[in-house]
Amino acid sequence: MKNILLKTDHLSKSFSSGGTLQHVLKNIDLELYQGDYTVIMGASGAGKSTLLYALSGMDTPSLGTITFGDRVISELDQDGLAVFRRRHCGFVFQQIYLIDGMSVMDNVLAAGLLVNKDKRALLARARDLFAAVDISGETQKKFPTQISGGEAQRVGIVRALINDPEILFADEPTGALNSKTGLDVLDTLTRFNEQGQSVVMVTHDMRSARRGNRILYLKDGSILGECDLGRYEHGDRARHEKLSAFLGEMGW
Amino acid sequence: MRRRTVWILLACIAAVEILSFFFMLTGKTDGSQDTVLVNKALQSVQRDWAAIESHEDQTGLDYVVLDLEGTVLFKTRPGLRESLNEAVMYRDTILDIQADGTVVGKLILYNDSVQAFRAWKQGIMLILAAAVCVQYAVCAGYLVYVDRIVIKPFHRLEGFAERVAGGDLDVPLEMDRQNLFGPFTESFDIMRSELKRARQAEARANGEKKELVAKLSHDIRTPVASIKAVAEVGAALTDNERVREDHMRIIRKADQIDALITDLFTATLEELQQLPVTPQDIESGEIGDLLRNADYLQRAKIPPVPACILYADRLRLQQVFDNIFNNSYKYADTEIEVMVYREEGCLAVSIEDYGGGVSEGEVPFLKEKFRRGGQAEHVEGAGLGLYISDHFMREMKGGLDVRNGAHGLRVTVLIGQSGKGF
Repeated sequence: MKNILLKTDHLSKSFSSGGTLQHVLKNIDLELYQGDYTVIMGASGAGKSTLLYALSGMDTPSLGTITFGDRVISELDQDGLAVFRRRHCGFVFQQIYLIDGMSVMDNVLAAGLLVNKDKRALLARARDLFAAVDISGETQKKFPTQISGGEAQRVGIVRALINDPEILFADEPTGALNSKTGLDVLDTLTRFNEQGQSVVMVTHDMRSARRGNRILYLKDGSILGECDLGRYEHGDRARHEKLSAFLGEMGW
Repeated sequence: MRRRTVWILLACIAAVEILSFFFMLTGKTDGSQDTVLVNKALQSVQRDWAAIESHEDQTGLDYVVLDLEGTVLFKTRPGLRESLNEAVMYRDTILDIQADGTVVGKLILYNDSVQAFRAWKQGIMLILAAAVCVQYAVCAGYLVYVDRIVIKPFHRLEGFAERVAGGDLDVPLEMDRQNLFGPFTESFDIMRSELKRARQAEARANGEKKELVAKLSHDIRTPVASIKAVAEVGAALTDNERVREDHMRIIRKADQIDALITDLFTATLEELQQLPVTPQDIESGEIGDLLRNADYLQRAKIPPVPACILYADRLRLQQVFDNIFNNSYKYADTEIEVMVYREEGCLAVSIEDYGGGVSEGEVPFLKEKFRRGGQAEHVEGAGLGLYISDHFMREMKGGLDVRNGAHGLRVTVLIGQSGKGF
């Protein structure tokens, strides 16, 4: 029996455009489980990113509730949401948003110091994480403009994990990377997930989606279907075929 | 008349405010002291200087006597400023005390003009604040008045026009002579009742036509059935192949005529398909407004509606609720209980009156076309309301459930939730 990490009840999000209300998310009832690698797929405009932002507390729903543990986060104000995000969520975006004027290590520590004031403990955790993503001590001292795109995204993952979040949210994390560096980033995320890190990733890339154990397909703001792929294993052909069949059924 | 009074009142208040402001900017209080009394006080202090402890004030002024070191030698009352610095700061009058031609001390005469000015200014501010408050109250009252007599009636008219345009002619427009649209309201409602009368006449004519068609179809079907039966017997008895083929042709043509009569009879049932239903995503909060609009006699207490996104056509849904409430007004004429709750994939709106319901035998037929319950004999109606409502709800991928409840007839409208595949 899996532990429920996050739960939504009739989650809906609407935007007003030229006097017309656009309902981007409609009545989404969803449970995210601890340790899962959940992948949200769907065509452009299906509401994937909007769902991710609502789940992670970066945006508030128009209707419905989001519950994290026993706290209803959809009722928090902006300050409350900021504290929630810092303590419980990590974010990896397509654009990495590292601060150019700070070294790689300082970028990571700056995020950590928002929650933890013990700089020594933070340094130790940052070094462990950097070692896990294969970023050397030399690279840690460099500035963001001096490292490659793949390295920058791995630094982004370290920054997202520095506060030991319950959920790591990733929005198209390999979207801006080439094939090889994208694969490195996916391997990194898979490794952290194998160690127990819960991951929620939005993607429209089959290669990325294959890494998840649970695939949700979003269409017109609603979850049209979901597929249980089981734990990822490299070179599992059947897994690929199962995902292809599911996406075909969904009209991908 | 009322408008002019409001404007005059606002102008008076504005004048008070301007005058108060003007006085506040230009006004000054008289801070000067009586020179004769000051002189007298100084002279009496100088006279008593040798025995200043036993000095007694004869002027009524407040003052303090200091020696050159700043020590207080005498004061008319406690609470006066006792240092030269403080005295200078508050603009007190300071005079030298001389004895035998030399300065021996200082006389500080208390000056209360600053406090007087402050008190005067506070008074003006109070008047200004009171005037602003009154002005605000008048404006707010006027806005409420405008909302009551113009804006709300206008919105009611707007909703009424939408319903009439959508073919819903059952809900009357309540006339209120207090608002600006009173006379128009009456005209609009006359127009609605005339339209309704015309439509009923049309429905009656259609009904009569249908009866004729039904009668004719029955009259035609009987001889056609006889022809077919005779042809079947003829075909069975003859040995001649050509004659059998002729009989078979007669049978086929008889079947064709029978099918045509059936088509003719059922054609009128297809008319309903011409009413367009265009569902879209709406927020469930709108259901409360639709229910309140339908319950124009305010017999029901509308509960909060659970938040979700629904797939419905506002106009047709309004007609459905209008039909249900109107039926309840006509046949039960009691209080109405409304419950709104989420069910699997849909939002259920249950509307029940206290009229005791209908006989169980009638329940399965209530949604049928031209069916009217036992209670409906003496009440105006065509027997189409629940039939049309059911049709509308099915077009919205929802449903309509009619059954006897605990107190009366309970109609439950099931509205599909978007993305739930109800």
